[in-house]
Amino acid sequence: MPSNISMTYKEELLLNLQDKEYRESFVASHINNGIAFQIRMLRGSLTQEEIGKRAGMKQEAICRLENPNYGSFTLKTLKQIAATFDVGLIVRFVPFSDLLKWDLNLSNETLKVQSFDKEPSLKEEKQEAQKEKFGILLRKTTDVQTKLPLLFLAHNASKASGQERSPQESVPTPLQERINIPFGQAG
Amino acid sequence: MKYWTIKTFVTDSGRNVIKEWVKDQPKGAQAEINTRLRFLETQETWGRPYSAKLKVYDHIHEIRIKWERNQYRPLGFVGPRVGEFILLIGAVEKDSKFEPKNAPSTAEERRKLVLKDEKYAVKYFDDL
Repeated sequence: MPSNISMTYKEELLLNLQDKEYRESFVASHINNGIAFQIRMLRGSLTQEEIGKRAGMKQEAICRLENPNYGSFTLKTLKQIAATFDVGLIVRFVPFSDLLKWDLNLSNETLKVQSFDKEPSLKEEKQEAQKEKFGILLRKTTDVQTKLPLLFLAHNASKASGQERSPQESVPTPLQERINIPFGQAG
Repeated sequence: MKYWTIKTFVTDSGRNVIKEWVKDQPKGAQAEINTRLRFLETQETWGRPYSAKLKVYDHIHEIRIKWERNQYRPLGFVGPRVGEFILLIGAVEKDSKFEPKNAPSTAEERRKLVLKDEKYAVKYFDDL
């Protein structure tokens, strides 16, 4: 196709991905670029030396990791870096459709990672989980509190009328009691 | 958010010289060049190891991409609008020399054309 007939980037990428060599390099370059740029972004205003000290690595090692042309990092090093910045690390195989989506949505925000302490959503989720747990407990307690007096009243009433129910008999609810009243006697 | 929009030089006849240059490279190199440019668009500041200014022409920058043992050096400049980087010519560095040799001077000529008329620059990634 002549270069002056324009294709959208997505169309072009989908066409390129038909080629096995392109696909292989696409995977590798996403790893190499992603890791390098994310480490650089995580470091922020700190120096490579400072991060090196925290990670137990030399400044030169951090410099290499930040270079997207390097690409020779080990999983051990990446885990070390994740621990240093207190962030998660996901290494997994995915279908190409996932990688395509990731590439198409690539932005500064999708690359930016916050450390555990600075993750507001995680704190909110923790609070939500606690609220949920508290709500369930409260509902259970309220159920017991409302049922207990009814059981107690029913027990006393049957005792007074000398018709004590056997434990197998179910206690009628107030609604059932009302339905059982013959029409003529109501009120 | 993307900090940069990468554009490429097009000739009067509408030839996208950078896209043609990329397509002339091995498939693996094409993927590396395209992916690097995607990532660069997301970064506020460039500079080494991603890019470097040329000594001969102060306004021209090289993007430093390595794939296997080859060093790809697309040349471009910042502007004319804020947040734009215009790729002007594709080159390869061998033994500290550009191939084609005249890549920096061609880049400078094309830069002047883009500054005169923006029709000489189109988006590299047509995201729609």
